[in-house]
Amino acid sequence: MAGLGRTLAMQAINSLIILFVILVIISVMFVYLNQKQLEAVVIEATQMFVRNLERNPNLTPEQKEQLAKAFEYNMRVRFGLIGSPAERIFNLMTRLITLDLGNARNAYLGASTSVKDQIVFALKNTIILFTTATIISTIIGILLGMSAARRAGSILDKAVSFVAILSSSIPFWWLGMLMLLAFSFKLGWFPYSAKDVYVAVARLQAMLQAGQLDKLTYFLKYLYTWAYYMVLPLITVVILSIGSWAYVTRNIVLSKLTEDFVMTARAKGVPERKVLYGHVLRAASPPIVTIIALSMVSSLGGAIITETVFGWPGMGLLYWVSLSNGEAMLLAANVYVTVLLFIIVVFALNFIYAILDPRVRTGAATYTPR
Amino acid sequence: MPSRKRIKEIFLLFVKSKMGLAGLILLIILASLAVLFPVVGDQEKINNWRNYEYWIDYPKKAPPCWAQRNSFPTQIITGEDTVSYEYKVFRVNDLTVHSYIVRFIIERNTPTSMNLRLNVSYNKTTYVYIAIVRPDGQIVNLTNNYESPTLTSMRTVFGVSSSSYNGTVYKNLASYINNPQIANLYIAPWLEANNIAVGSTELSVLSSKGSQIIFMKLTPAILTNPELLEGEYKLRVDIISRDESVSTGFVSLSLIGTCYGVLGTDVYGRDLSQAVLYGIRWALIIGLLVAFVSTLAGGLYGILSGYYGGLIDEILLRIAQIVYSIPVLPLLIILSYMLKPSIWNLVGLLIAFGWPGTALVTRSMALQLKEETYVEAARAFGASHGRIILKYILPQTLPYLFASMALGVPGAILTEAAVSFLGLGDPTKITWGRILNEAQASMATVNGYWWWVIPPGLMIMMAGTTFIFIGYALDTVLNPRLKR
Repeated sequence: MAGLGRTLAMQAINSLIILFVILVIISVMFVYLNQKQLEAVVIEATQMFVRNLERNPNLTPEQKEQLAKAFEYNMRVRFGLIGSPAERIFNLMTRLITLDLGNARNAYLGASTSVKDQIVFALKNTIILFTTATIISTIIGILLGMSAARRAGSILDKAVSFVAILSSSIPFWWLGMLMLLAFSFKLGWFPYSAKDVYVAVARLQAMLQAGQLDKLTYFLKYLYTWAYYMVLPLITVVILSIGSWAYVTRNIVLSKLTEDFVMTARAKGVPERKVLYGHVLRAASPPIVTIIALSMVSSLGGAIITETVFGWPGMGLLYWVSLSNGEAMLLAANVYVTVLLFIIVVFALNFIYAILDPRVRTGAATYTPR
Repeated sequence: MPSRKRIKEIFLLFVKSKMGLAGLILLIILASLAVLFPVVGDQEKINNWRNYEYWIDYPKKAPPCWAQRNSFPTQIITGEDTVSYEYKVFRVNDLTVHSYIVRFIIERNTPTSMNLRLNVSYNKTTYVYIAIVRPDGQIVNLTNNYESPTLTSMRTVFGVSSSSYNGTVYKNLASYINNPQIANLYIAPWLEANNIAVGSTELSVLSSKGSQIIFMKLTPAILTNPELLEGEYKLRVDIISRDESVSTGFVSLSLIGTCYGVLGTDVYGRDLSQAVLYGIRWALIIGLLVAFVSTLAGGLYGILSGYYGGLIDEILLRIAQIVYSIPVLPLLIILSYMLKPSIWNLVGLLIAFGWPGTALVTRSMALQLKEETYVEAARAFGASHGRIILKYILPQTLPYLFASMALGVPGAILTEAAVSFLGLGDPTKITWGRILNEAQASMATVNGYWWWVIPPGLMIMMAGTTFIFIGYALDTVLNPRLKR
């Protein structure tokens, strides 16, 4: 187990370095680019304040000057404009890590205006959506890939390869728009905005408390409500993820099928089903997990944006909201948390890999492509 | 370097594979559309893409005409279409007449508006005569004509001073006709001249639907059960002036229906087919540039790392791994937000994050290649490191580099589309992502503007598959080990 521990430690260090690099990039960019805008905001607000002071006849000029200075200082503290650039970068980094970023102008998602609360709310919804989608697409994808490998060259096999190619060049969010056009606009089966799921759930809860519903109907209706609002985004993500799961599984299983242990198992008279799902899948799963982990890094970003289209109140929608409202801090926090989420997912997958693969070696072994 | 014969062999193998051929054909189509845009497309529309005034006459949110079978296809005849109109100058008594006859086709339905624009300049009293000449030879006057006791003044029709004016005059003829007074003065007499009685009920029909009635078959039931008279119509516009030095120019006649062109229009009335076509250029530029530079840079980086080995390798490998594990899109979002939104910034950022994948592979290739006997032999002959890398190691990795270059294109196109979709794209460039961003901002899905959503995405998909096909085909041809 020493090897496992070392691998995980190396992994953790790598992940921390990545996180640190990204925090530095965000903070430096903020200090050098965005603070000019903030500076302008502070100066404008101060001028406004001074103009208002001028109208007050009860104050002496010295008092007015003092008040103006205090006002400007307060504004600067609020916008993080105090100290040397290095200090500012450091301050911003610590504030990003703890998500201590004050309030946004509006409660875009959830009930609170606090940046932290909105991010946590969005994170929760993103996790709900993508965990479900990943579980579904993993199961379907692996089963599909196995059947394709078993009948290499068949129509199913060709279809899997074709769908994989096609789905790697379709933007998730565009498919989402198509889904809405087909199932919400044309057929009217599903809602346009998934945001309302919380309103609907709250209504159910109120009905439960008022005694209009018994526990069982409440539970069924609760499930139905979530499904009703979640089905379209879920299907969109699943459709486009299945292809790569199936294709990767097919290729790896195909290469494993030629190995000696498969022949041995077959020679022993192990049923073909058991050979495939017992022996081969066991041996194929570590590389499948690695490749998926790497492909996730590049595709999850695009997948998250899909939320924008459906109005699913997660981090993807938060990107759209913070960009269209010019909420720089909300955007920065969202980027940081998205990266954090990626890193945790990849770390977890590598952990699974380390457990699945008995030959765990350190460092590059988990990263060697192909 | 592979010989010419080998290249030919590879090409033949490549074309023989179905994927390779499909990819090549798609690439040729895309590339020729991109290069020939000035011929197939309309450069003027692209230049005026952000000039919303230019699109004022176009129907807004109009679906494509092939999908809207029974709506009038929008026609916009401008002064430059010299074949579509005739221009004559003649004199009637002491009046100078500038006469324009504009031909247009009425089919499927009637236009919802008819916008006429003219440039005029005069310093003495000026009149105007407008009439529509129908395919059945009927002439429908829309103003007083030469036989009337007086002519209609410029003020009555265009609302500008009749004694002196210099500039553009504009009138929506459809709303001009749909007016009780005009119906009574001109449309009703035309119908009565053709033995159709016009009472007060008929007059109220005319004042709401007169602009449609004038395009209907002249039957006794023209008002109760109108039937469209399809064919070539002519709009006659005479500017009649006491000023001998009057000057005029035909600007445009826009006959607007409820559908437009091949791909319809967006909320500003802009012709989407042009944007979708023009988007090919940027997709190819972004995709190819990013893939080429990042593959080459990554390839060299990996070779250097693998070739030198030791501590250098360790450090270079760590850096590459870190950059490789950075999720690009979130970072691109915040960087594009803070930097000036420019397409070149985006290309630079995509390259900056796009190289490590190739680097990791070429590194492991270089690790093997440097142990080969011919490399050792070269070293024994005293070849420099640079020579060994460029002459003996790089050529061996080229097949891989070509394939990974092709496979890198879709990623770049997709990422650019995602960034533009979020509204962070270059506002001066028309890309597919930006079209979809505008569609999303106008709630195209809620309003069912499918013609605005489907084509740009299909193009992204097509561009992506093109390069994946090419990449896979190259991979199987150049790296025969992978053949299954």
